Amino acid sequence: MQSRFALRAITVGVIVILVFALVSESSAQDPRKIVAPELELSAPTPEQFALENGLRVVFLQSSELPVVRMTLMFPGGSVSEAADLAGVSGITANLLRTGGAGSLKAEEIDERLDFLGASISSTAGGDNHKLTLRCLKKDLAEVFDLFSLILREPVLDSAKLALEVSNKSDEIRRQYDSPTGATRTLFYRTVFGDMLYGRYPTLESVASISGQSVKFTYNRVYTPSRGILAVSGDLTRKELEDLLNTSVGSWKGTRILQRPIPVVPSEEDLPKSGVYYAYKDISQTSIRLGHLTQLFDSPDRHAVRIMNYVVGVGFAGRLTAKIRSEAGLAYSVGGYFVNRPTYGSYFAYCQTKAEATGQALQMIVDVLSEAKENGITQKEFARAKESILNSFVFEYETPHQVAQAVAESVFYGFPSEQTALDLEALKSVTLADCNRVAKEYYRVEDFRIVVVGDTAQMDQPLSDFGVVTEISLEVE
Amino acid sequence: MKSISKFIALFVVLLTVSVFETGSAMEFQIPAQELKLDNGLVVIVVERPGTGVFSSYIVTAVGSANEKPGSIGAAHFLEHMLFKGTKSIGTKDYVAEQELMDKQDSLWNRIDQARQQSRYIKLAGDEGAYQKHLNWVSQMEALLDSLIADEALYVVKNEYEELYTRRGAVGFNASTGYDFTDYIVSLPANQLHTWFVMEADRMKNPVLREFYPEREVVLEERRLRIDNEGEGKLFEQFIGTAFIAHPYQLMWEWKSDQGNIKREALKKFHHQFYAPNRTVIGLVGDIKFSDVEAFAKKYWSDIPRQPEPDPIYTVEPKQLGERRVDVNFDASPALYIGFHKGAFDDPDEAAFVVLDRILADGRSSRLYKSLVIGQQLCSNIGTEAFPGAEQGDLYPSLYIISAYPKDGVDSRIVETAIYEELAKLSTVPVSARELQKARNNIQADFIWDAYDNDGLAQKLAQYQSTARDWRYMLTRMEQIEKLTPDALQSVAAKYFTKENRTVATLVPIVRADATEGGE
Repeated sequence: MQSRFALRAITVGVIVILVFALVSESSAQDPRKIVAPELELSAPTPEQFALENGLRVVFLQSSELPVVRMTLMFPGGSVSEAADLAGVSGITANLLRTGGAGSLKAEEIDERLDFLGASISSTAGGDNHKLTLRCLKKDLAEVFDLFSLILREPVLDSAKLALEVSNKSDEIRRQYDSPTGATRTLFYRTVFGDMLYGRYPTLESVASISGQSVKFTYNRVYTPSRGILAVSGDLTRKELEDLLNTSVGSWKGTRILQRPIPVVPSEEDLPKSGVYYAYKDISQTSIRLGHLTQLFDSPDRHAVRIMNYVVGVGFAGRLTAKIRSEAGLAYSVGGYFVNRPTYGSYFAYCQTKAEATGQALQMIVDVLSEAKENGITQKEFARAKESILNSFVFEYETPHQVAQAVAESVFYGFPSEQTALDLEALKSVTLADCNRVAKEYYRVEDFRIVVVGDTAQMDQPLSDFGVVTEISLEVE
Repeated sequence: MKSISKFIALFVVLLTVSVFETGSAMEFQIPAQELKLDNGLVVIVVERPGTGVFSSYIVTAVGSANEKPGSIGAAHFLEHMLFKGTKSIGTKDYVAEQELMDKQDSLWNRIDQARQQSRYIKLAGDEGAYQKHLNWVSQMEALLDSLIADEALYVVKNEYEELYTRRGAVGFNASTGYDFTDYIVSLPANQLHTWFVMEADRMKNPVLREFYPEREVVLEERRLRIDNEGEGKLFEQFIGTAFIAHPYQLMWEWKSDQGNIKREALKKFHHQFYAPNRTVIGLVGDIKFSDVEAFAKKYWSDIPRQPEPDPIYTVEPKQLGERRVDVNFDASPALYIGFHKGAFDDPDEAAFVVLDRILADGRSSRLYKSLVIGQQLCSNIGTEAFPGAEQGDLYPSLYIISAYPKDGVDSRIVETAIYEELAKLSTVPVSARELQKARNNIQADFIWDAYDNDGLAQKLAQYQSTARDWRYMLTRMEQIEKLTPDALQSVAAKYFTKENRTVATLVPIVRADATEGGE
């Protein structure tokens, strides 16, 4: 059978050029004065096409190594789970890989993949499900057969479901063992409430996951017309088309079900700003503070990236310079914007000895308030912009990274050449843009401050930072 | 007189992968080139044209195994300090800054001496004199704080890192191990010149500025990774129990050592161990070997070779019986089981590589299949070596199995199930297919290791540092090809014994509120 491959618009080639101001060669030992030659890079442009069943494919050939990689993405993930079934997307994704497929038992699939040194993995994230493949070129036909079988005919209702539920329950029981892990979980629960990226499985919710709910999730999520497949490696377009035609091309999936839709929080449903404290008998306090943001497709995201690079990213970022290098109060400290569809979040974090908790927390709040108030300097702006633009070549480092970037752009509704558009947008950001977004996006008054530690060992009361709500780390 | 002699050769590594079932074969090449300078520096280069970037991986032959009492923690602390810049990078006025640092250090020495006196002044029983002494110490501490604050006058904060990131660097980092300390960064391909200048400067002229705050930062790192993490705490006690003599026994610097280490000790450590003859560089990416050669000559050839430091003579004595240690901690149960094994060049090392694949690589591996999928005793099980370099370690090391018992499963049951699997390896030869499966995985990983520039640079530099010849990676593959099921069985029987093992168990602390209602 011959499928029709519709060729979609090819993305534009990207040239990244790095230029440094010319300075005299006299002082070659001074790295500040070294003139780097121009670097021109013709970024490879993946091919794009779609199968008859609607599955979109992004393909980049690369024959340097005799390997093939694939990543198949579908919309879904934990954001679209019902609260009483939290965890169902992760368990469904796991079962694709661990439950068996077609007439093959799970153990047979494990054995065949392991024998070839190949891997297929299946995961669910916040807003997507992913199925990936990694193998040597010589084994592609056999490994892709298994990939296709797992995708089309997973066995979802078996004793393996009970094992997945039991393993997930174990993970839930361990979720607060690590202070930094506990802080992260509590932070997202506090910022998103029991929605979007704040919803975590509980012992109760995973216990209610049945074969039926898993099948429903599978049918709803794994639909060819909603999927996008990134392929890279040592094969030709023709070889790929033949491979897809023999199996995935004729896959119909279930078209009748509505695509998963996330429940979006409204302000009144969310925990209020203030301090959220959980007791743990530890000598180092773990702190994470921040709030919701909406930057995913906002034009402001480029200015925010440059502005926040100055404030929160890397050793030279203000948070690290102040709290780590100068005060010696933390090993790891920083602040980041996590941009996701619907809502994302901003967070700053550090871990510091218990007796310096108030001091370090005040420093973080001061650094962010100062940035909000007065913005960043021309010098800082220039450094951040250069750093980001000059490191942009790393977006194209490996073939799979390039193919996946295009696939993700399309997946999230951006133009397929979004990476190149991002570069242009970053180039046009000005200092004024950065200082405007600093005022808007560091919402100091909205901070939810999560603190895990022992107040008895701390240098000042947490109530100095807002109304304190206590949270228990008991797993119920 | 010619100051530099060099040895360059193009080695194309051919790896023939034969496939068990289909009989097809393939060849895989790593076109590595090698440069050696008179001062002992070795650079290994793989050119990858057209990618626009390169990765560098510097391995220095020093680690925490080289520390001696009095400088415990020096290797790791020094690694942190080598991000602080040089005589010309990171300072507004190096001469004035140096004067200030000298003042800080002599004041610290006086505080340190006074603290050592405290117990005897207290014993003397004159409360007034003791209080006076303590007051003097805290005054001097306040004075030191102000001298530390004065550094802000001269320091250009994080300039060394900024010079790299402005030029597009990513992944600028370092790590301290037991045998080696690694420095890594990836840059756009047009920054090779800058990279050579920056790294030569760091080797020649490091300035250990912001010393006292960074000493605290290292302590915070310890609190983060060890003191407040169940697994960190467990692992530290486990390693300390398994080794009683060899310097591998110190998993991390103790707080009491790290909090008192002196700048002078770090300088001495640097002088002794950081030298071109103890350095291997891996460079992989869109660069030319001829450029590497020119820059290496220009910027590195004047760095003097250093005499070989004292070898580590201490040999871990043979273990005479099982050792066990419990760690009570507020976390879920965990279990470590360790078996002493040899160094990288031990004749049994290749067998361990294969046995490890059979035990724990993939869902169909023996331990995973039996304990996680079959008996469902734990949610996860893993293996590692300690210190655990991929190519093996410089000194006899430890093979470790770690398991996480499920709720309600006694860790003794998990232990027993693990021993049953180990006993099978010691008593029944593995099948030809299982051996071939392990080989297939090792060969596939050999190819995948070359996927990323930084991964390949790391592998080349680490093999060169350990075996003093990066081609040892091929020797290892040949050793693995020659292994037989009988050989694997006898290695398993030799090492997986009760008297050779150490067992560490994390015992959850039962919180007071959870026991209410009891007696």
